Amino acid sequence: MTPDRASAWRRRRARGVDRLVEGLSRSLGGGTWSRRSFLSRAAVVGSALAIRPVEYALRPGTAYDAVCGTLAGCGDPFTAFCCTINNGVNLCPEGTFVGGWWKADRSAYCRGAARYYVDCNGTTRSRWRCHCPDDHTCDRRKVACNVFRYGNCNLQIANFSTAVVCRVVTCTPPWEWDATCTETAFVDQATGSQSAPCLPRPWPSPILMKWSDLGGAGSPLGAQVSRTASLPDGDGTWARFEHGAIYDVHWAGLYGVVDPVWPAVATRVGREGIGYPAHDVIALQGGIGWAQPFVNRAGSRQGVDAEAVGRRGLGTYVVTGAVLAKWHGLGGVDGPMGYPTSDTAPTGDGLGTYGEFRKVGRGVRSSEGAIFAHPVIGAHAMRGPIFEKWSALGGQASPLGLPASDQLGLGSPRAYLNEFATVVSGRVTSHGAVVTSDLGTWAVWSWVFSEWVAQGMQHGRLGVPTADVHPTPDGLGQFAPFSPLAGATETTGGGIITSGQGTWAVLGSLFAVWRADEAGPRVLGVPSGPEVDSTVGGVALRSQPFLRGSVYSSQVGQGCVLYGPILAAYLGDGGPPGSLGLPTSSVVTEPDGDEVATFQHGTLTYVPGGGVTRT
Amino acid sequence: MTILHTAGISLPVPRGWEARGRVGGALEGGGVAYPALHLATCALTGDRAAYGGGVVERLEPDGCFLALVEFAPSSAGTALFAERGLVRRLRAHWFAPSALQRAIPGQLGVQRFFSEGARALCLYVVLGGAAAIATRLPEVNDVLAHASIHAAVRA
Repeated sequence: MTPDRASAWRRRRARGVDRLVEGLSRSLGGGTWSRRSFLSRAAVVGSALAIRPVEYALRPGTAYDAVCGTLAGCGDPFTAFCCTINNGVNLCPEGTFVGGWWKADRSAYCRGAARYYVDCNGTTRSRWRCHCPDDHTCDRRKVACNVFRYGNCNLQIANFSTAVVCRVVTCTPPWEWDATCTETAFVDQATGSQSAPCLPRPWPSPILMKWSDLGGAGSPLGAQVSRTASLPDGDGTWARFEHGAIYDVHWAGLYGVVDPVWPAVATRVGREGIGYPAHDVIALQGGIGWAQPFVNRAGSRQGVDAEAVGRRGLGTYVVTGAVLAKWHGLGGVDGPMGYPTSDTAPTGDGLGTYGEFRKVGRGVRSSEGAIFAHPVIGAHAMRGPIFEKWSALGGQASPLGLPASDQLGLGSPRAYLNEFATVVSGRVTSHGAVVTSDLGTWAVWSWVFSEWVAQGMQHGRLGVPTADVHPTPDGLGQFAPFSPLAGATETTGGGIITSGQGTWAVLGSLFAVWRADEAGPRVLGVPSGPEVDSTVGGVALRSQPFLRGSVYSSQVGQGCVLYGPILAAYLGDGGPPGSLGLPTSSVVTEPDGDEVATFQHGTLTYVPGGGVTRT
Repeated sequence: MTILHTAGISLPVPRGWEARGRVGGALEGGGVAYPALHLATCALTGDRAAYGGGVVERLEPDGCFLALVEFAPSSAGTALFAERGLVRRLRAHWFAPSALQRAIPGQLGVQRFFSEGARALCLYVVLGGAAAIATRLPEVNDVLAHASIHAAVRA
């Protein structure tokens, strides 16, 4: 990654939702590296001893002494390097903290760039006592003797009365190497020639230099297990280590990929995969999580093409492309989606991509979700109960299809929805929604959804769904019931029923009449038209036609169901405006089989085989 | 009396002492140097380090080096810089042979971090030897007693 792009990535990670990003702790066993990594690092110290024994053995003579540079004796004023006293590990040892830093410019040890010296001060309970290393090394400088604090790291630690135990050296600026360090700089060129046998020689290879910066023998990489090799297309070089690799890519930078990221990306690093690392791994949320960006020059318009993100207990997954951009837009690990629980993968139609996520909160139930990015309907996220409902209905194969909106508030507490769409041959063929509220989490789609939209959705008289779309009892259609969040009334709530007769809303008490009929005689069938509201003789009337009957509801007769010959005769008389007036009862079948219905101005009786008579 | 003025900090310079100040600025290759004021009873070379590297090695047993080093304004008020104001009098027993950035036999040092006027600073004093406690410490305390640190000017 270019410096500009790297800093942009860090800035993005640092702002807003990622404020909790913390740098790597550079003490052994620090917060970033897992216990397993720590144990691995301890083990590789032994490997380093086996691989480079000459650097740990007694080497008398001036040539060897020259490795340590000037003022390397016990009586000299300076402090020993940490790798000298810490089994080759170029990190602050246990019982110390990063107390401050200075630099020497134009250092051969950093290939002509600045070399940084980081003091590891003892903690107040430190076991370190003033002494000098034995004569098995030429770095016989003091250990834990100089009580001094540079003062530009770990400013939250007030203590400046403990000694500098040892010094770490790095070619990485300390404020990048350890997030507790500030950019307040001190220069001391007099220390520029000081070194130790356990540190790289002048003009090291970039990969060796990087390995040393990551801790050397104590780094999470472990020992080098392959020769440095060229990358394809002349991109640079790389080398394998026990627990990862270091890549030196001309256009991406010099970065290590280590456990726990390495196992998740090992087979995919490169132009044909997720690209090359564009930054070292960084710790998230106090070391609970981690992230590392990757870029592929061929497609790095947005700065980062892929990001390996992980969390303790969840593992590491690679998030890419539009899903990555959407996830960052929602706040990354600190946003509502949390950490990835899958790699970004193609959608079922092969046109889009998706990834699954989990938000893990303290003391609260984990919330799962997913982000879908599709060229036809865009990139959208869903989570929690809505995601669970969508999954239960079949996920991508469900009648809902893919999310077509983010989670939207419905203007009431705990009430949200996601819109969905199905796509066939590059075109949206159907819409739907999952709505979650105090009335439950339910899905509506296709014609039922369209009618709900036409009725004003949650703001209309229907309110929100109280069940998924499901078949009508008579099997003639499908329907979903609805209710306002505040509860249904005579004229609100109801249902939407779709069938070969069209799709119609049946509101309030009329829906209750229909459901009772479906549960019993089934004389009405599915609705065949909209509710008609009118006033007849000064009386308000609600009526709605169904496949085999009609419902009339007024002050003089609520929920009156007419059907068959009596309905035909009533309509033949002119219906509500006719001479019979409004119905005052439903059609009732008497014990002898006759059917009777009463009206404001008469009664209609149907005698099977004898026709309808009016009295 | 000569007074050293650098970056809003004024230090009286005892007779026979040398004084130099640096205003700081962005450094090549990254990092930012902040003002540093140095007083010493020996010559202050151009390549001296902020905490006296290159100078303390040449201190006579009765010599003295004083550094007042500033840090990034964001450091002010942090735990390390919690002490309020420049100490105006150093006590002899505060000096210790271990309290040195460079452990040079015979020398004694003291270091104090503090905040003043929304600025974060560190006072670091090195005495060339025990003999300097009687001869130089009064001069150091006179410097501290008459030092002034103006509040940071916000951009």
